Amino acid sequence: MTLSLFLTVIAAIAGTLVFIAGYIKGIRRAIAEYGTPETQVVDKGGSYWLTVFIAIFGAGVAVILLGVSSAWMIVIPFLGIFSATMVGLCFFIEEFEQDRKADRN
Amino acid sequence: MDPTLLKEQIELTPMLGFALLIGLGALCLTIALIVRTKLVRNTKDFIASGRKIGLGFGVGSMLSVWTWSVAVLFSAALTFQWGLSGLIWFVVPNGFAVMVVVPFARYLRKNMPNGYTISDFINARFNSNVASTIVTLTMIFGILLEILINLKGTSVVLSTIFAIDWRIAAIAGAAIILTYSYFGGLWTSVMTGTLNIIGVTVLGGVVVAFAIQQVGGAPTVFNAVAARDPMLLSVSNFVEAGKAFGITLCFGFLAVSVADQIFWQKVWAIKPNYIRRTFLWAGALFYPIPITLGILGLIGLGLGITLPQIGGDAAAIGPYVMSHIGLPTIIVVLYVIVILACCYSTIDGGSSALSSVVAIDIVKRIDPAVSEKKMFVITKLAMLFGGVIALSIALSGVDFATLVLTSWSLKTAILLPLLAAIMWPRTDTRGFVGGVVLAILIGMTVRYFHGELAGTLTILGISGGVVLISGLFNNQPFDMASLRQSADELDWTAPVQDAADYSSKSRIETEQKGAVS
Repeated sequence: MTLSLFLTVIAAIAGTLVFIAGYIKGIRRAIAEYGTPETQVVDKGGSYWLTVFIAIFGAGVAVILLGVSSAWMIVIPFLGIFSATMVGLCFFIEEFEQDRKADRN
Repeated sequence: MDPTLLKEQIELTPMLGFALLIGLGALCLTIALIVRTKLVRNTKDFIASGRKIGLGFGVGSMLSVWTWSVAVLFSAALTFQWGLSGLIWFVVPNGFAVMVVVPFARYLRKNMPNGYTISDFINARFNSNVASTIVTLTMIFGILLEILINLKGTSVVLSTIFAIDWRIAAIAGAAIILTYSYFGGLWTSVMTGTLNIIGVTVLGGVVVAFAIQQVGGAPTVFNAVAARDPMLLSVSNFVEAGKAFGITLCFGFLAVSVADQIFWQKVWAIKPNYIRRTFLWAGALFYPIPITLGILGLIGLGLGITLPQIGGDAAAIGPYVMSHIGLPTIIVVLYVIVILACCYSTIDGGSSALSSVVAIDIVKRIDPAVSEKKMFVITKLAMLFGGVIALSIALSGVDFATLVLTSWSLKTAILLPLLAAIMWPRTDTRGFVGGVVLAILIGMTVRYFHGELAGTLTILGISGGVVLISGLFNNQPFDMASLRQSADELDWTAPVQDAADYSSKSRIETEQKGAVS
């Protein structure tokens, strides 16, 4: 097993653990919230077109880089693992925000 | 790279294929049973998750329903055919199609907080049976085709890799997915879909990394593709690829996301304060999936695989590479899980969306006084019925490429009128219906005689132009604020089915928590 493959597997395990931890937290929260009143707070907004531009630009650059150096072929699979990790983190972000809101109240 | 290493792996038996199909289904069924017990007591829970989907499940479920098996198979296929010029056209508009929903979703949720379906909005917006029927039929047609395409994806992969009869694979897949979807509706779809994301993203990254190593490493793949044709490693064929399929694909993605009840169902089910981030992050986090799996197309190019070698269908390049380069069986199995995860999450998402359309746009409209108990049963049966219809079409063996293109044309025809209906108060019924009908009649004819690109541009031009002209002559703009008055159509007070563990004690506790927050 090459070093890059070994690192990919390690990153995959770490990403999976974050995802699963968040997922379990999410299920518990959903069950705890059952029967509570619906949230009425509307999304405050903020600029999203800059984020959209950065995401599109980043994706285009990632594809182009695949043809620049073979090293990017090793890096790209990490991005998929990053996506799963971020979804896992979303559950923690949600809880953090809810707790902060509860503290403020 | 050595093409002689290509050989079929004999240990991939049909039994292993069925074990994977059933194993993943059993996991989803377990989650569905938990959902049914704890979270689903009535139709509102079933089709809108009580409007309680948070950020994590929102992002995860959006990612999963948008990641069709097509995203996995076509990213490799287009890379195989066009090099990176093909991949960039597939990738860039794909994630953008999710993110572009943000302004419309936020605007509509703010102005119509009690909605469930996009056809319901059109009905409230225009008070026209013709307009809402057009949208309802387009949604049903689109959902059935999404189920159909992903059922086909399941059967293609299982028949290619495990030599299972594709008909049996389709029947088994449909039976498994519909069984677990039946128990929890949208909550089940959201939770199983989010879990499937781990399969698509993490396993996708791992299997591609193993495939690269198996064929000699990244430099070997890179040099082999460059030796074949350096243009394949650049996006210099960007314009040609765009003319051939890219521009049509671009509008197709936009039409599928904006004019799709799978998306709109979630707009009304996600907590309103998370809508912006859910769609933005889901779109951005989607990008790595097709880019990663597109590398399989580069490996296919490096190995010098030809189209006839893979049965003439470029979509088979991913499964072919994975099952012919001598990878350990476990890695091939993981790849199959990647594709099954895509198929499962999109099919259960489609079934759930169909249940909302049937409940709100058909049953509630025909019989507004329908009891909650009856509605709950009909809603669940609608999922099964939709699945059976999609399966029947798949089994009939018809070439459904025409059906898919027709569905995309219908959605493209609705795209601009729908966006105008949401954001431009001067849009009227005449413009909406006229734009859609004329765009379909003229655009489909142009498409038939002059091809996809001309047809798509004609459909967009006519549908948008008619809405614009009609709107400019409309002196009575619609009051969007009136949508806020629409009542929650499923706000029954009595639950039909008590969740087993939903004791009065926990109910009081949760209600108190809600009151405090």
